[in-house]
Amino acid sequence: MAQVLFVVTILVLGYALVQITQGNLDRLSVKSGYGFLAEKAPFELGESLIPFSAGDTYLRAFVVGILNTLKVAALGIVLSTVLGLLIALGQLSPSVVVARVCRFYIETARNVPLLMQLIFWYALITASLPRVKQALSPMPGVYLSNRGLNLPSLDMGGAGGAVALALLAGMIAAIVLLMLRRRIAISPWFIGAVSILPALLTWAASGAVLSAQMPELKGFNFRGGMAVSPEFLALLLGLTIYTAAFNAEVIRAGVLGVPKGQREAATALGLKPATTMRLVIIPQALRIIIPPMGNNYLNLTKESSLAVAIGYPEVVRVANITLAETSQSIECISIIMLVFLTISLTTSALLNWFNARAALVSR
Amino acid sequence: MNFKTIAIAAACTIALGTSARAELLDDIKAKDELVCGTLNYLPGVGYLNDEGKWSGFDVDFCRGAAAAILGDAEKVKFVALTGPQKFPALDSGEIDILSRSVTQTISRETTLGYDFIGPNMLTGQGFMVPADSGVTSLDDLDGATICLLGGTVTERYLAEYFSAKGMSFTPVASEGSDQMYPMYFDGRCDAVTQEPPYMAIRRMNSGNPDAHVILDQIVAKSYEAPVIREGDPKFREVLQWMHYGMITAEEMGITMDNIDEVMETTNDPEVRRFLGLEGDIGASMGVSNDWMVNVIKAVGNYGEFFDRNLGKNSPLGVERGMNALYRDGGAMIAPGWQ
Repeated sequence: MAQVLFVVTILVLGYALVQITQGNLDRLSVKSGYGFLAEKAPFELGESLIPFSAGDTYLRAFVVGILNTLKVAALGIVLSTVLGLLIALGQLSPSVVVARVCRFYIETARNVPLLMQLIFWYALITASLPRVKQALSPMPGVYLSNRGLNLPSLDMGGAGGAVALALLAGMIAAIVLLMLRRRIAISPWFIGAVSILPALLTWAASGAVLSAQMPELKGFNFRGGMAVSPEFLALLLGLTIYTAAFNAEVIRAGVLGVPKGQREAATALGLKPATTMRLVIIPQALRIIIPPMGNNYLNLTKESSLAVAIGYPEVVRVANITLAETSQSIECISIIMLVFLTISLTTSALLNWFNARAALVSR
Repeated sequence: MNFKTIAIAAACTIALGTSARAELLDDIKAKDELVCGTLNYLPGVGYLNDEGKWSGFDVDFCRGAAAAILGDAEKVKFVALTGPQKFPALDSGEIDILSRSVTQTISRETTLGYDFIGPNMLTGQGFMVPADSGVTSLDDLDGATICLLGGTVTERYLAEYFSAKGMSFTPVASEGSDQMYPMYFDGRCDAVTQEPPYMAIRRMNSGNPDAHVILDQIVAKSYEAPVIREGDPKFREVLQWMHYGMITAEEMGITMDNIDEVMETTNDPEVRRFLGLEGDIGASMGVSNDWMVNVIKAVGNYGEFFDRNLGKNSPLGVERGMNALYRDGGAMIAPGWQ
């Protein structure tokens, strides 16, 4: 009975909140609803995975922002995991110096607020790297300046997007096959072929054009090639370094959580330390590691929204400009919430599924 | 209830009503002090120095207002306000006048219930570039990286201007001007965009003012004006005509230095009316007849006022541009003093 009353109270409060907000918005003659998404967005975003310019719709601007968020989150997750693993192994290493250095890194990186780290890296990049006209060029076609990193890109005669999609499809197929391998015998060569063949075939079908496009300094900036902006670099660096410290602790705890007897038994069987780690320790440690790692990944994705402080055009920055232009704050904030909720729930579902598998296999 | 009680009650109601609706002008005269909301960190606009002395364009406007109403430019209490504080401070009556580079817009004037005085500074969205970049006009900025303040109307004006011209640019958005200018000076951007007077202040503080030029062109207009609460017509009249009076003084060639001489020698009836030597315009407005004399002795005519704080007689060196008199090719003009 009390529970029913509680639910009813919550519903009534929620209804009242919506009514009052609606009333106030009407009084202030603020439009509501998501109709503005189809209107023209009068701003530029700087960097984008899909073509975007002022005059495209707000919806497209949001898609650009979401893709930018996903880009930095995906790369950050991969890099922070690799770095975290290295730091964790370093901490467990018999060398006192290496262990101390890794400990120092962890204590520094996780005890300085992320926002400070982002501003620090951004200031370091823009203030200490040379100006664009005096860009450093460690090797031909690679330029580093305070406008970011410019690299040569592969030109596939306009088929680049299709090839990338085919490569992604191949990778997914290969992962599925890898999972099936436990039940059916599949040659590793076959899996390797499956992962790259679709991309190769797509490229061949498009006419097999392949040339390197070099960045060239024309006018104000480098044109051609691939550009990585300082905002993106600073954000990726900050997120990676910060999250890697947490990841390292999780991995270290996981490895240390495997009973000592397991390692001793493996050694007694004559397994080498590296093999012991790969076949005995890591599979068991994964069970401990995966759930807290999932938390760290979710945090990384959500914290990417701090990028608004350094002007990286992710979804929060898009929402902020849209809000300033249209005054539709409730709608814009609800979009931010929905985007992060969707990303988080998806990540968490994937990790739960993976966790279930890891737990099952090891028993 | 007899007639007497009703009469007393009615009289009290009227008295209460009128005291609540008393003109701000009378209140200011009664307390012998004008309270002015401004800013304290922008030299040339509103600045409080180490010795506790206030200076700047927005500050001097309040000094002029105190001279007009109270006959003494020093009878002002300055209150430093941040951006988010400025309108609440005005709404609550903490300050009498807000002189803090507020941009006049229709929504602020009509739906939010403010009155704008002036406008006393006409500006727009300008651009600053390094002097050695060879950029002399906006058309040279095709393909440039431009630093701007994120989430402001700057983004729209810039994108609309560039797309209308078929040009492209890459924005680098900052959260505030304290982050934006270091990035521009470090070379992260080829140009920075804001209102020219503010860019001039940053340029002066950059340590090497000659290394940067502010382009003459602007892409959007902006009316900067002091603000008061709606509903004080006499106060508004005094301030609005003080603004016109400063322009009129410049038109008449009356300055801080020559005003005493002009008062003794002039025979021009309009000048004599202006200076309160004839007629009773001032008195009918609720201030002294020589109120404009006090204003000009305190802050000068509009040209002196502008040049001393922002223009050629200040380290900022902002061009008069649109703020020149109409007869000199600008947009500053005032109604006649008849």
